[in-house]
Amino acid sequence: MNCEQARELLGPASDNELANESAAMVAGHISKCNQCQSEWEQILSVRAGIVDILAQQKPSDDFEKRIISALHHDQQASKVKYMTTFFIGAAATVLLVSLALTSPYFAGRTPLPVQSQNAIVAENLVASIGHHSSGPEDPSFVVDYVGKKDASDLAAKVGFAVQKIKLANYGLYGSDIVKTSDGKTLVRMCFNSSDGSSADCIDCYQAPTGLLSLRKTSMRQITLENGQVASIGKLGNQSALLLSSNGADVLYVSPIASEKLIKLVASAS
Amino acid sequence: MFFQENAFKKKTVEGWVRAYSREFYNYAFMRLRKHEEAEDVVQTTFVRAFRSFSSFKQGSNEKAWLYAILGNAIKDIVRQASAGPQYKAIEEDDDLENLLVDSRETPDLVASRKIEYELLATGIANLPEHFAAPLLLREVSDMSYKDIADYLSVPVGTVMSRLSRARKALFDLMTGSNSDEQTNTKPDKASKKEQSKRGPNEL
Repeated sequence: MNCEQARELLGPASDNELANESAAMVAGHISKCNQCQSEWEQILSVRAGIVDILAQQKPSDDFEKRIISALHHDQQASKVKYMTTFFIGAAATVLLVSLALTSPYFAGRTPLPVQSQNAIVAENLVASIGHHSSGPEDPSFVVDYVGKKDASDLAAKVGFAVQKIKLANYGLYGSDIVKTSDGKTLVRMCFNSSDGSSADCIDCYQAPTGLLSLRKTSMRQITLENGQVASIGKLGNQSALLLSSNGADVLYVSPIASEKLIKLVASAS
Repeated sequence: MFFQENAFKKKTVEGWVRAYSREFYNYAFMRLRKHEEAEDVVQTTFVRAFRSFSSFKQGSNEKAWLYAILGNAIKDIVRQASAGPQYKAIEEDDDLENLLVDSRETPDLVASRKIEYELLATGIANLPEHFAAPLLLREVSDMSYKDIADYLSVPVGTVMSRLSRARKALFDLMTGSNSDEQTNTKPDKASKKEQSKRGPNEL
C-alpha cells in the first residue's frame, strides 16, 4: 500500500468503516510512514477535541423532564383543540336542528351577538387554548409554539412590551405566540415548578394594555403586597389573576390555589 | 380513538426524548455553541415531532426524521440570532479554512489564545452545513457512512470526501497551520446539487 492509497483510507479506518484486511494494511502502512502517521493523528486529535468539548458541556439535569413536560403541555392543548372542535360541531348541529324546528321564525331571527372587537375575553382564550380548561368557547386562536423564549425575544416578535416574568421556584419551559382571527397578537409563557411537575404549571398570557378582559363578575379586585392592583378569581377549575403592568395586560392562570398564585405574582421580579 | 392515538403518540415521542435528547443536545451545542439555545432547539424538535407525528411513517428511520426536524430548528435559530454562526454557501473560489475563522479576530489574537478546542468549537459552529452535518453525524451521532449518505442523499464517496475536508480544515484551524495544499476547497458536485435543491443552510 502506498501513501496515496493509505491517505484515502485513513478517515474510513478511523471510523471503523474498513474490512479487517484493509484496516490492517492501513495500520501497517502508518506504522512505517511518518507523513501518514501524522495525518492519522490529525483525525484523532479533531475527534478528541470534539469529545473534550462535549465532555465539558452537559444539558441541565432536568432537561429530559422539561421536554416531556412540554410534550404534556402540548398534548393538553391538542386535547382542548379536539374537544373545542367536537363541541363546536355538536353545538352547531344543535343550533341548526333548532333553527330547522323553528323554521317559521328562521328568516326573522336576530343574529347572535358578536363578541367585542376591542378585547380578548380571558375565559374564551383560556378555554380555547389553555390546558386544564373546563370547556371551549372560542376556537378562533392560532397558537405558534416558539420554544423557551425570554421576554425580549418575544417582544421583538410581537411588537409590544412583553414583561419579564420570574416566579420563585418556577422555570420557563416554553412560549407561544397566539394570534386571533381578527389580527390581535398576544403571548403565552408557560412555567413549570422546578421539580419538573406540570401539574402545578402556570400559564402567563400577555397582551398590550386593554386587550385582555375578564368577563366574570365573580372576579374581585385586590392589592398585591407589592402595591399592584389585580383582579383574582376562577376560570373553571383554575385560579386566574389579571393585572396591568408597564404597558401590558398580564394574566396568570394555574391550577394552584389562588392564595399561592397571589403570593407568587406579588413576589415576582 | 383520538385519545388512544394521542396516548400512543406521546408514549412514542417520550421514548425518543429518552433515547436521543442527549445526542441531539450535543449536535445542537456543537452548531450553536450556546447551552440555552441548544436545549431550546432540542425541545422545539421534540415538540414539532409530536405535532407532526402523523407525517412520520411508522417503521421508517425515526432518528433521520428527527434529525431533519432538528436541522430545520437549528436553521430557524441561526436565522433569528445575529450572534449565531454565519452560514454561507461555499463558492467556487472560497477557501474552507478561511471560512471557519472568526473575521473579527486577527490571526495573532487567535494564536495568542492557544485554546485549540475553543478554536475547534468555533470552527465547527462556522462550518457550512454540508460539511458540518456529515462531521457531526459521524462524530457526535456515530452514524455509519451509509446512513449519513442515505440521510443526506449523497453518495458514500461524497460523505468521505466532506469528512476528510472538514477534519483537515478543523485541524489546521486548531493548530494554526495551513500546510496541506492538497485540501480541495472547491465544492463537490453533490453540494452544488444539494444547494440548488435545498438551499445552503439546510441539512
